[in-house]
Amino acid sequence: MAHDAAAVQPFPYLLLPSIWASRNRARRRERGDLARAALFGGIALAVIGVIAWGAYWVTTQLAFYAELGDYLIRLGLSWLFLTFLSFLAFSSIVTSLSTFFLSDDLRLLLAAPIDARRLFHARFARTLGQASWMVVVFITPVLTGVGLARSAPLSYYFTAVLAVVPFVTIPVALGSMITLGLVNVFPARRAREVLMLMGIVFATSIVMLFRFIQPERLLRVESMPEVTAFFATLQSPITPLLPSFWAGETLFASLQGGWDPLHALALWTTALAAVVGAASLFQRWHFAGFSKSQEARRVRVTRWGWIDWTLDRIPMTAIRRQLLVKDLKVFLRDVGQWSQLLLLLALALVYLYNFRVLDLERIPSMSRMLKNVYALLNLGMAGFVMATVAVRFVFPMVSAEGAAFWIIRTAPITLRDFLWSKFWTGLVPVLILSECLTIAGNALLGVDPFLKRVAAVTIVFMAFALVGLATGLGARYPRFAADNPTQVAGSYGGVAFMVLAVLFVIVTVVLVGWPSSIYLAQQLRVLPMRTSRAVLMYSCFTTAALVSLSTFWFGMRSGIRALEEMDRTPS
Amino acid sequence: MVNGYDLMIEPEQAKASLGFVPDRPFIYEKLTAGEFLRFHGGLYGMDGGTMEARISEMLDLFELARWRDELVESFSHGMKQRLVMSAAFMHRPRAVLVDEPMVGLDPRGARLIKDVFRRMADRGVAILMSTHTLEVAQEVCDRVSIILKGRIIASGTVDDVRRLSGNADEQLTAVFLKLTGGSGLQEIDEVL
Repeated sequence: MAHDAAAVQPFPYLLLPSIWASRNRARRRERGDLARAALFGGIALAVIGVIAWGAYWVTTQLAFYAELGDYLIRLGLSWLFLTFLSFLAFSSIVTSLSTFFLSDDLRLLLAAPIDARRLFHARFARTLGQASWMVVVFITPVLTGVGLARSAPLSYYFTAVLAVVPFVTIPVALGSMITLGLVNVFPARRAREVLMLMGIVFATSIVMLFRFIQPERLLRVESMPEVTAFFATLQSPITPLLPSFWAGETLFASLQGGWDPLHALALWTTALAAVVGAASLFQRWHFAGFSKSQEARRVRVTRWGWIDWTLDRIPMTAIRRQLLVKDLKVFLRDVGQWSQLLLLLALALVYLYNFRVLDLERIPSMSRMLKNVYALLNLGMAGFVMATVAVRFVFPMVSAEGAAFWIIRTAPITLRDFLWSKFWTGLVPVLILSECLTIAGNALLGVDPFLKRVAAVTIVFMAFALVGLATGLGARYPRFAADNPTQVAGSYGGVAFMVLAVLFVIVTVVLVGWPSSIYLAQQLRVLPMRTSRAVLMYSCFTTAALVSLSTFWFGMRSGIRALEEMDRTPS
Repeated sequence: MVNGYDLMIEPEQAKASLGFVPDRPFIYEKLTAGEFLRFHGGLYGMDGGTMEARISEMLDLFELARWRDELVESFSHGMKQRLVMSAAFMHRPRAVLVDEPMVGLDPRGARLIKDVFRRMADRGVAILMSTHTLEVAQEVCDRVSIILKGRIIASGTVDDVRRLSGNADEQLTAVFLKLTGGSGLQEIDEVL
């Protein structure tokens, strides 16, 4: 009988659809694939190279401190694994929600004659791959760098594989079990939102914690007595009970040419026990949880009435007001969207904090010049922050209409009006964020008032240009079928926007920075400015303004034309 | 031409007189039913108290009033379909384009939609419906056209089309099969 044959297929058979889908995606050629692959591949290789080199450099430096160095490597490995442990636990909880409960293909698989254990193994393998690939990609160059620096034997690399496999399996199995519990209590989609928010809060606190413990203190000679206290705080009494400690110990022993069977065994037995335990629990509770996740439910809605109230008081057309109300409410009700703002806020705070702790007074003769150089650097950084925010939040705005775009296309509004509405919705927050960052950063640095004014005005021009370009290219290369805005940002159009945006920021900073430095130098020497210099200076400022305006105009015009073209052709 | 406006020359004016119901009701999942209709009304130039009254009217008509403040994402397919219909009729269009309106509707919902279409048509609203459910076409349409491979092969009242097939008493489905060639029943028997 056919179904008997199907029932005895080993579990990897169930992974075939995702493997075939990846193969088909790789075979399908789209415009810009090569450019995207080259850009992302190049960046990824560069990052991996830098990580490996960093690990190599730190390890060789520590070799000079003999036993203290060894101790620090051991502690470092343990901390590295501990960080990944928490990351893996979170990522596996979120991943297993979709692989075990929300995937579209689950209905088909659950209706087919597949026993629960095989389904669990197939889904677990998928969860393991999806939740841990990033950790593996990061940890490989680190461990390779450390191994090369210590001229470790070949057995070290073998042990690394032997330690990393159970190390990633344990948190993924535990994460899947937590998800199973959560789904049996809450509806799956609500659980995902709660978890996503927790994940972002977790990432935000890690970023802020890392910055506020001020690791740069370690580099100061006068703070040596503090170093002992610093390390004392790194040692936590609970770490010996965690798999991260076992992985660190196993690897450290093999780095020294030895072998630590106790911790290796602890890793493997725990990993196997976790998988077997998870399999039993899933056999018992998975179907109940899956059924719950399919049920429709009434959700509590935050009305956000103040949005309507405020916008009713701002003079604008009814159409523009309704478009704005809709965009704001959809954004604020999507946890996956607004929670990323928390991370952005944390990064902005760390950014400003860096300026506050910048100790430029240590070199008094240079401090004035350095401050002004930093001010220009701040301008460039604000530009890059704007480009990043624009590609993540502004570029996907047209695509975010998704399958509901028919509502706009059949409504009696021009697509030009629609795109302008998107532009203004994006411009206001981007402009406020970048102006605040620049003004606060320059105030903390105490830069020259002239440069403060130049930076503040430049930001306005840059915001118009970058938001215009992002809105326009977002309309020209829309991805209405994308699952989420991150996918849209990573598309061909998103990459093209980033390349243009980076070029634009560099050109603007050079065009503004060069005449500003001439002006400041003249001021310092108390010399009158030559007419030719003044002309050159002002033409640079004018060119910068023109570059901004033409970038803005090019972006918006290209977007409007693309939308009008789309309106003339049947979909 | 829609209501005297050429769609190519004055698309906005033409669209203002049109309502559209797509085959799949994709709408903004993170808006409530009330907010979606308010947004839709805004796009058609409606505003203020008259719009709010009209929203209540439409939600009552399509039996969605108690779901007014619920997110669309928690709606069933049929509820979304009825919400899209509320939007299509909200701005009092002169003509409505409807694509497969009965997919996913329960019998009560289907009855409601047919009644609404009939009453709107009686009040002079032109309704152009495309459907594969010929029983619905037979029940509600004044005129039907059968399209085969992009060409209209039969057109007229339901009775006119029946006569074309040579049997005035036949159901529209049988007429359709006769005009488009074969029922495929023989092949089914072979496969089974």
